[in-house]
This record gives sequence, structure tokens and C-alpha cells, in this order.
Amino acid sequence: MGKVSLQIDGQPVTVEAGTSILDAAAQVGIKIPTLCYLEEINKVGACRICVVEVEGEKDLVAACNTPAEDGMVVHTNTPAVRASRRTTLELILSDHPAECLTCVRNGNCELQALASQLNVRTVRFGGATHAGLPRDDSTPALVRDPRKCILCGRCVSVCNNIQAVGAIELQGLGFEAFIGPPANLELAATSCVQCGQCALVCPTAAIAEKDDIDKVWAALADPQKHVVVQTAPATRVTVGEEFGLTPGTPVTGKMVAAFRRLGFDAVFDTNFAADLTIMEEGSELIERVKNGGVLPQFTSCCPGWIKYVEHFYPAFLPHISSCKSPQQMFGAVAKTYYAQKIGIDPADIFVVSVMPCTAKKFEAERPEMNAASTYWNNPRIHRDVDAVLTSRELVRMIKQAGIDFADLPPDEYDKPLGVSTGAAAIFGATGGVLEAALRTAYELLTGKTLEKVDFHEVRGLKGVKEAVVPVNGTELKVMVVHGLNNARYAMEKLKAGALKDYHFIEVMCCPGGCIGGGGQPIPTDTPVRHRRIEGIYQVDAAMKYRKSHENPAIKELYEEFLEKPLGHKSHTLLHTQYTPRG
Amino acid sequence: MGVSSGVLPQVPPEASVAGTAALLGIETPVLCCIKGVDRAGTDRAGVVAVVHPLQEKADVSYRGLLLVNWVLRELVRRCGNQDVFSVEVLRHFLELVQEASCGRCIPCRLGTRRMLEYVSGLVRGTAVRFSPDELAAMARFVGVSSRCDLGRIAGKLVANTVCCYRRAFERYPVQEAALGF
Repeated sequence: MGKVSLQIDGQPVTVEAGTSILDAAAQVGIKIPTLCYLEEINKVGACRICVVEVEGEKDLVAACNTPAEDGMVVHTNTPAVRASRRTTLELILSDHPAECLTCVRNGNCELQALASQLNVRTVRFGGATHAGLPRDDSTPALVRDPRKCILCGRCVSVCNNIQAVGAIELQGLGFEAFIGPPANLELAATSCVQCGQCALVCPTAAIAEKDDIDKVWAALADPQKHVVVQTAPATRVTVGEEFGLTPGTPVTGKMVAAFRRLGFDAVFDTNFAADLTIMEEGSELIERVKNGGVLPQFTSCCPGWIKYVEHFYPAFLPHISSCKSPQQMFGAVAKTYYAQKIGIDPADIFVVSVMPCTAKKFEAERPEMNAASTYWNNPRIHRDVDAVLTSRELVRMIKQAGIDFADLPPDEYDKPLGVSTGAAAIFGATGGVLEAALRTAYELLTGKTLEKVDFHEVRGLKGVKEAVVPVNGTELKVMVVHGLNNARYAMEKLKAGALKDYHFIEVMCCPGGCIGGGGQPIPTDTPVRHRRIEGIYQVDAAMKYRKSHENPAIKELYEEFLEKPLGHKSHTLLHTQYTPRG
Repeated sequence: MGVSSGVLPQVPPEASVAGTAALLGIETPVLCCIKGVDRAGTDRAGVVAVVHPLQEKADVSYRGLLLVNWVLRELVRRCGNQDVFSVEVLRHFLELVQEASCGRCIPCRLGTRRMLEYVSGLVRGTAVRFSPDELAAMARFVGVSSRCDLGRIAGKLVANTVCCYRRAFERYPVQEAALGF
């Protein structure tokens, strides 16, 4: 592609042909305000906040989706431009509830920030509003508040183009236009996988996670309850962002210390259960390979992915590993093995998960996720996991408690369910589960020590990654996909019979894996995802053990309780079945 | 073809604004009221939407604007009471725009809605205050900032109407304490 030269606010700039005015302006230090625009997601030019004047054009043009042209003279800060942006913003505010002080996005709202940036202090317009539209809190994971929707279309774009789900769409015309599930359905009645990517890109609080903080505060205040917390692998490199740390900075120790100050009775790690997952899922893979089972085997850690298959590819559910996700394995083990070990009534144990993910809230409420209750035959034990908090909710709890997170001295997880390996840590990044499985599968199958534990070919943000790993005379063919649109690509290949020689496929619903989960701090964009992934591999490299089967606490669990991978207790507590949803 | 028959005339694509306006029986002063459409703009007659690689670039079809303008003028003229009826026609036109707006772009979705509420309030006698200049300012904003021709034409047309029939707007009674725009 050739280059074009133009002038923006008097500054000459040369860019690749096809570059938008917005990006060209950024190259000369001019930050044109935007609202609906989101790199790689949404460039429809709908909000008209980024309008600029181009000499020779009679009307204003949107900078986000107008390509820079040779000889163009652009003005980004004229009276007409400022007046237009201000009027646009005032129009939006004329139909937006003024609930900033009590809004979940207060302090992290793009609309609020823009009003401040554009110095909008009054709203001249009134008239009809959408104040009467009802909230949709039909799912356990997400709450839709259409009153706060500015119809930027980001959520529709991410749901359709990145996640290939299409649970919501722009409907109606003119002022009556709205975004929501088709046919006025509630979100729970759609094929929404509750991944929360829509909440992650929403500039306001029109879609947000369902808040379970009060449920956790109530448990912490109940002297009868033994409240334990588990922290997902990806949370330790993201929570610090909300306290001013660089994205990707590992804050594991600080997070543990914060939990103790919040009053949790035991602070455990989902990474322990991730190691357990590798033992079970790796064993399942070996069994499938040896006994001619259904291949390729797909991972089952991600609840958004599971729900996606249940809706869109139910005929292929036998390809999914029967292993529960680490979150649910942890819940089942906490209310059986751990309860027995410390002599507490499992009905008094309250398990809190801190997850990067909104779909985990849905997963915890799946009817079959009550293995401990079944195991003890005690209906007083309700769910294996009682409450799920996203990273964002945890941050709010820490702030509410007045904990100076940045200055917290690091602390260590409790034993035994807080012991983990580097293999578990990398579950948080796309390719991590597969890499962890390879580290263990290699050693279990060959009986040899794997010297080089890093499998770089399955790392990184490429949408579809493939590798062939020679293991004991077998060429193990593997694939990694992240983002459900890429998962759809893999499933269509499977459907067409093109994946017959593959053995193991890792799927993560969210772009980048759990470090880009729908419950993670906002903003989550590509540079931030890269930094978080780097943080994850830093955590891995610093661990004493880097292979799941080396975890001493896991060995102890099998010796004292489970006996062996895929054994009877494992099947009862750690494995599950799926529901075709059509 | 012909103005008197009430049938929309066929305008050759290469026709100039002046030529088209003459065909339609539209006096030049009307056009001059539209900001940006003056003698320097005449070469844009016949302009059609250009699709850019990144954008459905929304150059207004001024020929389309002239045709819409002509329809409104014809309706007003036939009614006889131009002062009152021009406001009514504008209200119906804005309703039509709202019904046709895809709802994505804010100037079109909310701008034309607020203008509709403004004009409706005036007609119903519930407007708290009314300033033709405010309406015209909003209309000009919608006219230059909208994403596609619908909003751009609507905005320019409202601005044009306010300019030409200002007296008609000023004849409506305005309530002191009513809520409105």
C-alpha cells in the first residue's frame, strides 16, 4: 500500500493509505475524542463524537472511519467541531439517567469521562427518555440496563463478530431503536453464553456483571460460616491495574493479604484445582488415545465455551472432556476432602470464587454442580461454589474495605488447597491449558523428564495455533483457539471431518483466554492482553514446580482421598455431563 | 413532469442546482437559506453517495434535498394558509424521518426527535418557550453531523424551513410554565 500525506491542525503527517483520520491524528499527538469507536471491534461512526472538519467537505466527517487522503486538510478543534461534539453529547445525556453517583461504572464510565473532557456542564435539551425500560437480570451473570444504553453498537459487534453468538441486536427505528435480544426475549432465554465480553466493551453500565458482593459480605459476617476463597489464575495479573499498577503486574501476594484483611477464613488458589484438572484431563486424553475414544478431545475449563457447544454444536458434546472446570473441582474438593481434613461440617463451608469471568457465575449455578451435596447426601450443602465474584467485584470489595492494596505486604496461600505449580498459572492465558497438559502428558507417557517446559508455539494472541508434539512415538497433534468465532472455525472443521487426526484442542471463549475475560478490569484491549499474558508467564517461571503432577498437595490429595485419576471418587466429584440446548 | 401537476419531475443527473431549482419552481432565496449551499456549492448538484473503503461516506444528495424541499413547498402552497401549515408539515416530515431513522447515529436518532418534540410542543401549545434560532441551530447541527443522507437532508430542510417561515413559528402561542425542549 502507498503512503498519503495530509495536514491535521496544521501539522503534516504521512501515513499508509487506508489509515483513518483518527489514527493519523494520533500519530501527531492529536487525540480525537471517541465514544462508539473501539479498535478492532467497532468503527461504524455512529456516535459522531469524533467528527472533524475537512477542507472542501460541506459536512463534518467521522474521523474513526474516514480514510486519510492525500492532500487532505483536517481541522479537529474548530468552533463548529466543538459545538457539534458538545451538542451530540448533550443529546445523549438528555436520554441518559443521571445516576452517576450510584452507577457501577462511576469513575470508569466513558460517557462520564467524555462529558468531563468536553467540558459539558449543562444539558440544554429535555424530552422523552427511555427511563421506563426494565432491567433484564434474568441471567446469573449479567444485568442489562437499557436505560443506560447509548446504542454505540459495541456489544452487538463483539457478540456477533468476535464471539459468533449474536444474542443481541439493534432493533426498532428512530428514537424507539434499542439493543437487546431478538423478539424481546430475556437474555436467559437466548443462546447468550454469558461470557461478558459485551460488558467489557460497554462504554457505560448498560451491560454489567451481576453484583454478588453483598452475598459474600453476609457470609463473612456469619460466625457459623467457614468462608474460603479461591483465586483464578488470571486474576493475579489484572487486579493490580485498578490500583494504579501496570497491566500484567503479578500481585498474588498482595491479593492473598487483602483476602485475609477482608476476613476470609482460608485463602486458597484455583491453581491447585487447575493442577488437578491436568491430572484428570490428561489422564482422560491418554485413555481416549489408548482405547480409541472420541478424538479430538476438547478442553472443558471454560464455561462460556461449554454453553456455546451446548447451544450450537450439541452433536459434538462427546468431544468435550468430562472434567469439570478448576472452579468447580475446587468447590467439590473443598466441601469434601478439605471439610473432612479439618473437621468442619461441609454445610458450614462457604466457597467464594474470584474469577476473571462472568460465565463462571452461570457455571456455579448449573444444577449438576452440587457434587458435595450428593457425596455427603446432605441437602444443606447447597452449591459446590456458593458465590462467584469477578475481578472487578473483588476490586470494589477491597476499595469498600478501605484496604491500601498497593502498600500491602505480600502473604502466602493457605495449605493444602493453596499449593500450585507454574503449569496451573498459565491456565490464565490462551494456550496455557494445552501447554500444561503437554508438560504432564509427556512425562506420564514417556517416563522421562521434560527438560524444556516452554511450548512457545502455542503461546500468543494468534486466533488459531497448531502444533505437533512427538510423545513416545506418537505425533500428538494439537490446536489452540480463543474467541468463539475462532472456536466456530474449529467446530466447522470438525463437522467437515477435517480434524480427525487431531488429539487435543484447547478452546477459550474470550480473546486472549481468561486474562481477557468478561469480568476483568476495564479497559481490556490488545496491548493490555499482551502485558497480562507476559505477567502470567512471569508467574509460571518463578514457581518452584512447573508441572502439575509435581504438585505435592495434589499427590497428597490422591493418596489421602481420591486414590487415582479417573477413579470412582474423581468421577463423582470432578467430572460432569453436559446439556444439549439447541 | 411539471410542478403544477404535482408529480415529481425527473431531473437529469447532470443538472445544476440552479437548473433543477428552476425546473421545480423553487426560488433562489430558498436555497440561499441553506448554510453551505450557495453559488460555490452548485457544482455538487447530482452528487450521489460515495462509498469509501472505511465508510459509507455521506455526501448529501442535494438533488434529493431539492426534491424533498419541493414536496414540502407544494404541500404548503396548496393548503393556502402557509404560515400555519408549514409548521404542521414540518412536524409530519420529522415524524417520517424518525420512522425511517435506523437509530444508530445520534444526531439523527436524538436530534430529529428533539426537533420533533420541539415542533410538536409548539403545535400543541405546550412549549415552554420557543426560539426559532435554537431550532435552526439544532437543525444545522443535525444537517452537518449526521451519518447519512436521511439526517443530513432532514437537518438542512428544517433549517431551511425555519429560515423561510420564521413568522409561522412565531405565531404559535408559547406556554409560560410548560415543559419542553
